[in-house]
Amino acid sequence: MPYDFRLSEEQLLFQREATRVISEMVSFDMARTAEDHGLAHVMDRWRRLGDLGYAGICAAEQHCGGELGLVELTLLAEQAGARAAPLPLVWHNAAVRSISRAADRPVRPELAAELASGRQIVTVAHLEAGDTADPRSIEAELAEQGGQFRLIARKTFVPFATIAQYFLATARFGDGYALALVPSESATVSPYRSTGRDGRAMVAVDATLSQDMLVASGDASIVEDLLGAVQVGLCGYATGASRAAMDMAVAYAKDRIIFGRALGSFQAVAHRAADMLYDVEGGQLLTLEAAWRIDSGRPAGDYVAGACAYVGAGSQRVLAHAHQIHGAIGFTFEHNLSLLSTVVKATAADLGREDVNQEKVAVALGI
Amino acid sequence: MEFEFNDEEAAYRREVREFVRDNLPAEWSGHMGFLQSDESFEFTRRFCQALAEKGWLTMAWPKEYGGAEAGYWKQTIFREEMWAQGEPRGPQYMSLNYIGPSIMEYGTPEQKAAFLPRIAGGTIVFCQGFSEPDAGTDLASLKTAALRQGDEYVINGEKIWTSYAHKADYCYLLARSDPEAPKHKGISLFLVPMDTPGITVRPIRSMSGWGDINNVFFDDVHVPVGARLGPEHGGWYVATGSLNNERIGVARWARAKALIDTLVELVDKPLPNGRRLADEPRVRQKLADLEISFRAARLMNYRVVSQIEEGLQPSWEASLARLHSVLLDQKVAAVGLEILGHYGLMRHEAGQDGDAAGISGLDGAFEGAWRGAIPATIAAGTIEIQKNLIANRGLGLPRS
Repeated sequence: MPYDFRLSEEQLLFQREATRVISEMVSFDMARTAEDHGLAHVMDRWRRLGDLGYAGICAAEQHCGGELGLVELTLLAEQAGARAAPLPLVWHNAAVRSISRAADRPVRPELAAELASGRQIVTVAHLEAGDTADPRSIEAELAEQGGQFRLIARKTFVPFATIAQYFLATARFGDGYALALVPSESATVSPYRSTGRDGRAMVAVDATLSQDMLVASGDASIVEDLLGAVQVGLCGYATGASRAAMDMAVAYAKDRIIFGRALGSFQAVAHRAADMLYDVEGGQLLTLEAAWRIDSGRPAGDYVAGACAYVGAGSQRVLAHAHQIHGAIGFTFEHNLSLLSTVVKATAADLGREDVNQEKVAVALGI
Repeated sequence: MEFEFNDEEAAYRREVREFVRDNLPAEWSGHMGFLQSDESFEFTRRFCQALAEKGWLTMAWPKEYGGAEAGYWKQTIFREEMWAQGEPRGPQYMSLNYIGPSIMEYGTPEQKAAFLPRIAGGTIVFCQGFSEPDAGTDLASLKTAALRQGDEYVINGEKIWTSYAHKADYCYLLARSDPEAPKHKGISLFLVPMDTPGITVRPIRSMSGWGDINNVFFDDVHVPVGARLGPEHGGWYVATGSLNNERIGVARWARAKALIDTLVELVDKPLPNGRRLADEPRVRQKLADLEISFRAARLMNYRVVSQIEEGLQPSWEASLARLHSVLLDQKVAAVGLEILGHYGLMRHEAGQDGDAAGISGLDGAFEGAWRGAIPATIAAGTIEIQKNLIANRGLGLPRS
C-alpha cells in the first residue's frame, strides 16, 4: 500500500516489549522523586534498560546496538512520555545514533559499545545563549591543535547533564560544523532548577580532545541530522505524555458523577475529549511520517519541523483540556496529571518556537 | 510503514490531472458556483460521460456493474484530482460514492438494471432527500410520510437543504413508513423520480446564490413499492451506511492543498507598491500552518483509506478524518481572505478582469472557498455530531 500505517511484525514486537518493560520499570514516582531529589535515583533503572538494549536502539550491531530506526525511537519515547519518565532515552539514543553512524571518523569501538549499552550516558549539548536550535546560532568553536582538538563551548539547558558521562557537543569547525564527544570531567556542569525534572545544566567546556572524540564534521546537515533524531523522539515523548493525559481525563470523566450523571456524558466535556484525540492522533501520525522519512533517507527537515510545530502546540492543548476535565485534583502534586503537564511544557520548549518551525515549512513551500 | 505513493500511482495521478486540465472549460471557476448556470451543470454531465468512456467514472465498482474493481488508493488519487479542481463531476460523486453502492447492496434485480448502468454511464443525477425543517442533525426525527397503500406508497412532507434537487433526475429519499414504530425503525428509503406528479422544488437563495440548496415538497406523491430500496422500515440502516461513505469519499484536503498552492504563488508576486506578502513573517507562518494542517488532515484521511484497503470498517477514525478536513477547509479560506484582504473578496464573475484588481489568476477562488466552507462543518453531519461519535466510539465516553 502507498500509505501503510501498520507497524511491521518486528515493530509491533518492539512496541509491545517496550510497553511492557517501561510499564514494569518506570513509575510516576520516579518523576515525583526527581522533583525533590534530582536524577541520581534513576541510574539503577537506566542501567537495567541499557542491559535490555534500550540505550542503543539506533546504533549499529557492531556497537551492541539494535540497528533500528527513529520510528522505533518514537514508539519507545511514547511509552516513556506516558509515565513522565525522567530518563535520557531520547537524547542518549539520538546521540548514540550519530556516534555509531560516524563511519569516516569512528570513535573507539569499545566506547561506542559502552554508550550503546547504556553503561555510560551521553546527552546532546547544543543550545547556547540564543536558545535556538538553528545551527547558524552555534558559537562553540572546535579547532585542530597539533593533532588534537580544542573545544571552547558554553552550552545552555543541556538535558540530563547532571548524570551524563559524555556530552555530544555541536560546534563550529573551520567553515563547517562538528560533533565532538566531551567527557563530563572535561566540562563544568552548573545545574539549573527547571520544570522538566530532566537534569538541565549549563555545560562550559574549554578542553583538549583526542582525535577519536571528533564524531563528525561537515556542513550543517550533520547537526540537523542529530537534532532531527532528537526532535522526532521528543515528539513521540510529548505525544505519549499527552495521550496518557487524555486517557486519564477520559477515565476520570467516566467515573466522576456530577449532578447525578457521569461527567463525560456532558457534551461540553465529551467535545473536549474529542478535541484531545484530534490533537493526539494528528501529532502521532505527523511524527511517524517524519521519523519514517528520516529512516528511509528522504528529505525530512520540513516534516520534522511540521511535527514539532503541531505536537508542541497540540500536546499543550491536550494538557489544558485534561486539567479542565479533572478540576482541582489534577493540579495536585499527588496526581500524575501534574507530572505529565510539566514534562509536556518542558518538551515543548525543546521542540522549539512554533514560528521558527513554521518558517522551515514555509521555506520548503518555496516562499 | 509507508508514507509515499509509488511511481505507478504517481503516473496515474499525472494522467488524471492532464485529462482534467484538457477537458475543463476556460470558464470553469474551479470552486463554488457551478450550479449557478445551466451550462456549467450540463458540463458536469458531459464530463462524467467522458470519464465513463475512459473507464474512470466507476473504477471502484465491481466489474459486473460496469466497474474496474480499482483499489481504494487509485480511487483516492482520482478523488483528490477531482476535488483539487472543484469537483467537475458535479453532483454525481454522490451516486458513485454511496448511492450506487447501496443499490448494489440492497437493490432488487430490477433496480440494479434500472440504475447502475445509468450511474456508470454518467447519465443520471440524484439528489439526497434527508434533512427536513425539524430534522437535521437529529435526522431520525424526520416526519415526511411514505404510507403504504396496496402496491404503492403515498409520500407527503417536506425536505430542505436538498442540493441539486432542481437538476436531479431522482431523489434518494428517506421517509417514515411506520409512524407507530420507534423513530429509527419506522423509516424506509426510496428512489423517487423527480418528475413524479406532486413534487415541487423551491430553490433557496443562500450565501452561494441560487440553486445550491432547495426545498422539496411532496404532496400526495405516489410511487410503486418497487421504488423502495432495502427492507421496509429498514431505511435508517441503509442510509447511515451511506453517510459513513459520504464522510470519507470527499477529498476536501486536496482542494485545500490546491488553495494553499494558489496562495503560495500569489504571495510571491510583487504588489503595486513593490512589496511581496511572502516577505512578511506572519504571512509565511500562516501559510506554513496551513500546510501542516493539510498534512495532518491528509494523513488522517489516508489512514481511513488504508483501513478500508485492509478490509476493516473505520468508525471514529472516519469522523476524526472528517473533522480534520472540514476544519482545514475553513482555515484555508479564512487565512486566504485575511492575507488577500479585498483582493480575496473579488468574486468569480464572467468578464471581471483579475489583472485590474491587482492580482491576476485569483478568479474568486477564496471568496468562493469561504462561502463553501461555512456549511462544511454542518453538511453530512455537523462537527458536533462527529465529536459525539469520536467521544462515544473512540474514547468510550457515555452518551449524553
